[in-house]
Amino acid sequence: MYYMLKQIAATGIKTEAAPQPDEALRAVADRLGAEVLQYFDGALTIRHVDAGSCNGCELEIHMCNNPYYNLEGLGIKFVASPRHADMLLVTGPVSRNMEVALKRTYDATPEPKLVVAIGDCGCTGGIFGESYASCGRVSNVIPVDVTVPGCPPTPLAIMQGILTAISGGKR
Amino acid sequence: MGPVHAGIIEPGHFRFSIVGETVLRLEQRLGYKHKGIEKRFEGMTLAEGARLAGRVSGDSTVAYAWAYAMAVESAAGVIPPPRALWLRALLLERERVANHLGDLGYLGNDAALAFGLAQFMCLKEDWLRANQAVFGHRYLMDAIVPGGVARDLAPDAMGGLRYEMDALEATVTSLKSIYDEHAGLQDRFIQCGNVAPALAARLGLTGVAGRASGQASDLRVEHPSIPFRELEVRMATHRNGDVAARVTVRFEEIFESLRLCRLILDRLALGEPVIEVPLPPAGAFGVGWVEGWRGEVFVALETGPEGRIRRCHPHDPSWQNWPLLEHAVIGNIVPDFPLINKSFNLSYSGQDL
Repeated sequence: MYYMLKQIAATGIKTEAAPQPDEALRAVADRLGAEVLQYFDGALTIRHVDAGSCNGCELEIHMCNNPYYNLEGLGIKFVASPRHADMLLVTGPVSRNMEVALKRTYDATPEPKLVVAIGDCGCTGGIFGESYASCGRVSNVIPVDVTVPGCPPTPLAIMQGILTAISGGKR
Repeated sequence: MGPVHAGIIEPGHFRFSIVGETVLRLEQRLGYKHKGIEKRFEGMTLAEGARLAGRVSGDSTVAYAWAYAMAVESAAGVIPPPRALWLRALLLERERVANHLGDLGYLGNDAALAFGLAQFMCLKEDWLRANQAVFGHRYLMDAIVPGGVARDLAPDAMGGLRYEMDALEATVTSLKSIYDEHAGLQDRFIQCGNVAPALAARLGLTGVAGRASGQASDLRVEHPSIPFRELEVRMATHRNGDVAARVTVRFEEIFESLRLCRLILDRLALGEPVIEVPLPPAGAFGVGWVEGWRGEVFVALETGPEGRIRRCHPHDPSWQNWPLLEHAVIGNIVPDFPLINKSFNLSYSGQDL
């Protein structure tokens, strides 16, 4: 125990400042009313859905929770069920085999809900594109509010996308 | 359970048969991430193919990019300059360290030691930031191209890398002793998710998981390419085949990779980091075989007319290892499944293609 405490003390607080929302990322203008968004502000629950990514985006979403970025410190946390979620964070081109699962996850998420598409593949289909096995971009399957490009997008870019979605054009 | 799981994880369907808390049987149904990668390769230029190969499984992007580049180079009959090969080895070992750091953090977390996750994630973040600063990408995507490496290592960056490795080694050493001494953690790790060496040999368990189950196999040792031939890699092995063994192998491989990275920086050849690869004729074959962090990555390539790809098959070590996970969980309790799964940390994307 002594060595753990010593290591914690030596590490100190690593958390850095959070990014600001970026209106350029918004795909749909103000889908949710401002009064609804104020409920999300400061307490948001996210369900991550990997719809067919290469797992690069998942690595960076994991990194959003590390002490440097400390997403949970902003009141934003990942939950185990879409029924508990306010937002879906969707990665990858949507594979045909995940199409139904993604739609069902979207339907299981209670209104009002937000969708953020992560990564070049989620935004455009990326290098995998559309084919017999891939439906391409996320917005081909479910409505998308904010898109975050990058291969993979950095944790700061992902956080910026999430914060843009819940800022509702206020800031 | 699944394909959409309770966590930030790739999709797969797991069907458990349980009695009380004990798992009688696990059936894995994969294929949800099939997005037609092999079909996508067809007709691509060799340069486009390099980008796609680096995205078969994002966590192994260096291993895939190297294996693909090796396949292209063997089809074209060229050998990249020594500096390129040494830099590729440096990138491969950096990828290994990054992934092992992440896994060790999550293995601590899955056994309820959140301290371990926080510590290892800080180390991984520092490591990724150095990748970004020195090589231009946090996960080193597109750093390896057919003919060499896309970005040379600046001489003034070497001091910083050495300093960073010394700091990392010191911290990982103290974290290892904390993990080793932690009774609660070891209670979860030891005798959990067993794969006996005989079973591992029969079903062809490979890579990190294989080496933890007595399968002394590592391409860097058995079929060393340049520069591993000169570096004399010391293989990490264990015979217990449980989660604890897979943790130990990961710790040992981090220390060994740091030793290799230092040697590479000491002996890095001078010269060009990349050469032009002539277009291979139609119908030329090439293969690439690289020991990635998870295990051996294999790429087979056939060229078509105008230097385009006719067929390309990337093969992930997860393909061999997934069936072993079904065996490893038998007789364990359901709450240990995430721990066992993480100790293998197999790729869904690389398996489903």
